[in-house]
Amino acid sequence: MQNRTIKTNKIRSFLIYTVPVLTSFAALVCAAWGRERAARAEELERLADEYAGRSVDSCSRCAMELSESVNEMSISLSKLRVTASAEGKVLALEDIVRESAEAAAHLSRLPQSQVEVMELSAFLTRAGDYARSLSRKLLSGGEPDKTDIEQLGRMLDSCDRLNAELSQRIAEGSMPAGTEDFDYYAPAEGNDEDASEDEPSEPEYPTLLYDGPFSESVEKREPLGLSGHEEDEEAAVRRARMLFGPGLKLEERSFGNIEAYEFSDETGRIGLSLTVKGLHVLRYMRAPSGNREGLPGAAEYEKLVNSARGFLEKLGFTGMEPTYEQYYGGTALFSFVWKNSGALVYNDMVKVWIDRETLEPTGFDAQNYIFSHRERRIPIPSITGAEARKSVFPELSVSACRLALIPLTPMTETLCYEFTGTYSGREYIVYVNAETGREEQIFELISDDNGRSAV
Amino acid sequence: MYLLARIIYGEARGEPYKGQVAIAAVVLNRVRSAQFPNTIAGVIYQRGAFDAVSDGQINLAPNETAVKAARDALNGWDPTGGCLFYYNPATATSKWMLSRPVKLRIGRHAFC
Repeated sequence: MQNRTIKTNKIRSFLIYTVPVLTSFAALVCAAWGRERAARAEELERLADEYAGRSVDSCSRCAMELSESVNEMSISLSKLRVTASAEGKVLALEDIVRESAEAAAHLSRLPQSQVEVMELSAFLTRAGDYARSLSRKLLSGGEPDKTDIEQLGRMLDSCDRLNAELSQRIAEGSMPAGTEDFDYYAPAEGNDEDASEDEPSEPEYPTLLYDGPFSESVEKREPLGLSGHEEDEEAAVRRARMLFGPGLKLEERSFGNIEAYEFSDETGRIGLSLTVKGLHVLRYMRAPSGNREGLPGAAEYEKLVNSARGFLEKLGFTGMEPTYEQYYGGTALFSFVWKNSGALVYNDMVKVWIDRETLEPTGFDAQNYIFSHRERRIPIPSITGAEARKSVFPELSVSACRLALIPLTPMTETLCYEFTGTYSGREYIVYVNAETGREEQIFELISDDNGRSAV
Repeated sequence: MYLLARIIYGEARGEPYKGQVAIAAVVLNRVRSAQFPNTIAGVIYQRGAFDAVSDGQINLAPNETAVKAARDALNGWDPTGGCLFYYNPATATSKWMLSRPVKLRIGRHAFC
């Protein structure tokens, strides 16, 4: 009995001393931990405010720079109307090219619905594109015609109106500030999807008619090389299997810029597109067997390019000439263009990928050829190669010269002499107009471990 | 080119190869379109355009497949035939997007 009492007393006194000590210690730890958490929360809130502030500042900057650029466009367009000299016009147009590109870039940095700003973005980009094409026209000795003057007038009206709208929205503080969520795909306010089908609304910005990479005419162009008739699925399946083996099956019909039948096989590693009209091979891609990289030796190059030639013949192409090649991911890619009457027709281009290990075709793309190819007469050059050479930079050491039909604008082709040469350790291609002798376009030819490409 | 490979990897790494090239092709189609920013970085980093940018997946290192897919797209291979948009029908909620006619489907994505 006594032992138990002594033991109980010992336990009791132990607890009386240690429990308060432990509890106080725990309370101190919790307090310290709580203080640290509060300090961290405060710090995070401060950082969040700072970043939000920076985002708001950045958006304000973009909005104001957009407004400035549009204002500058208005001023340049206004001055252009009363500029008499061709040089003055070209300078004003080049200013518009720069200002519109800046405006489009500032617009793209604002956090807002892409659907809402698509048309404005298109107007700004096309305004600059059109100014560039008009500038080229003047530099070739042309003049703005009635359509140009009208279009420039409408561009000025649009820029004035836009200028006023932007200034007002900035003053009101209603430009996107970057602090709110937004829907990238939110349609413009007041646009009902149903209503747009019944009453096409007035376009907010003028349609600009010209020939340039961003023009509406380029977006809407039809393929010129799509010969033949619409074929049904059975015929498509027969052709697909005849060309690429019995394992292919029809997946679906696709409605891209050229309507096509899409094929695959069981493994999903082969893709084939045959055009609905004429069953032309539009695209073909199969996984290569290896991943060899780097430039091939001369013997390997010959085997690869001959395999590509053979494949083109099998598909029914004639008169194709290889131009540039690239090597990557176990494949060799050759760009072939149609050669006619001694001139390379660059628009009529197909691409062939060859497997570096098996020498089998592993890819094919005829999109450019199908959009462009038709029989056409190559004009006879008005000047000789030697005469054209006089227009080339005199210190370019020229190694080759041939004729080529090139797209100086998306909708036109111009016969030129193509000079390849080197200067200061770099390789260039210079195109001289075979009719007028003008220097038209220059590319730099980049050669590296991946092959060659013209930029 | 690596940025293009990273967006492929971030958006479509589980997709069939054709689907990966298709993502890059949409980016390049937007660059060529007047309605979108005119550089690859501009298109990719446009606010709200790609989930892989908003959630940081674009910062992952791309694999060899994504790099080859980027190269193929830069060499002109466009399995979408000019499309500017794509979405995952299983997760998309935008009415505007869903009202657009679908041009083709590859893997999880519908292209329009």
